[in-house]
Amino acid sequence: MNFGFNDEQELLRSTARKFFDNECSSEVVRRLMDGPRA
Amino acid sequence: MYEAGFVGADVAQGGPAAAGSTFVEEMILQEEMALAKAPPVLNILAVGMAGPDHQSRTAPTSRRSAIPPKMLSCEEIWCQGYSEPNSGSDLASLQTRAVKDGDHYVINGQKVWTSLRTHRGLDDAAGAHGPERAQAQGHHLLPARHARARRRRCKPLEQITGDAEFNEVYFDNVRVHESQILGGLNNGWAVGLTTLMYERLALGFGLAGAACASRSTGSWTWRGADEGRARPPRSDPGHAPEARAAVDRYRGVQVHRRARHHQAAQGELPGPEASAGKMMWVEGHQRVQEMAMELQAATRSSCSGSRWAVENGLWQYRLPALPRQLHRGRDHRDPEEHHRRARARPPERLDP
Repeated sequence: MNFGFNDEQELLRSTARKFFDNECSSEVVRRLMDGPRA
Repeated sequence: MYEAGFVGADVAQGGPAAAGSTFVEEMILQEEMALAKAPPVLNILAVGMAGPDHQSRTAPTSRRSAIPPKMLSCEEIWCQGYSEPNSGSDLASLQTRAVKDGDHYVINGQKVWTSLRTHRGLDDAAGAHGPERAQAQGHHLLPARHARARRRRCKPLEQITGDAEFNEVYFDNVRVHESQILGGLNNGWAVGLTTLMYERLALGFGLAGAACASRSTGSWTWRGADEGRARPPRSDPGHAPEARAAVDRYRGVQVHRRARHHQAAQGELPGPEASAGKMMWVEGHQRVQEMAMELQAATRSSCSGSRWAVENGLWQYRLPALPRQLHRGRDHRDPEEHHRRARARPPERLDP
């Protein structure tokens, strides 16, 4: 069984990682978790 | 997160993974969320267990958007009622009864060890939209989503840590329309088993530790070391070998999960082999939590809220970690039995 990722899946992984690196710092996560919508 | 397409990527319309994506894309997103230390998916029992099971039995894969959107948006937090007082998890001896009354079933009974039942989101929706399942006579699975709150009471089981991870749930003449039976009359056993197999995959989504591999194993201790309140495991002579073993163990879990998710993406329902990942995770998780407590030394008794607590007392959850031994189930005593079942069982496939 080949359970590696294809090119599209690798692109999704790198895109998600960039998104979270830019938008989901620990400070942001903790602020949201302390908020009313958490 | 749902609106952005980051929850239920394999079933949501649009989002970064878009239509046509599978469990693999969902797994990729969840791993990246774990690496970013984003909170895990809250409604994991719906998104990872009840939803896929319900979906596979009610819609062919070409219409896989059948998972109710409110599951994905967390407007409906799902939980499942298996264990009962005096029955444990022995589903053959359940006492909860569903009695036919016209085109409805009337449910009476009590469930215990029910997760997520008291989450705030569910409390807000308890009057009309809090769905859950009641296993009833003849093994039906009934979602009690429209039961009135006063007929479906919940009592948190508070632990020594102050948390209430589990609850007791009481059903008092809860009426559910017969059309809501999941998987058909007297088919609750099969539906329940498949749901549990999906649980083995779902836990891989929700548990950040398994996904983060080396980074998760290092981050908490490095942060604790920076604060001067814990020793970094990889430079601690007494714990460096165990830290390296933990990283290897998590990577093993990660590889196992990927193999299982690729199977699911091919349309194969998860079987006994999916349980091996849960067994591996429980053992690894317990060892890491024990090591974390040892490394915290003098601050180990500082819990959440204390200015001395490392990571705000995150790792003081070692107490619940011990009962997690139960997560592996009885088969942990005989791993060979798992392998035998996995080899003997022909793969069950979803509808084309």
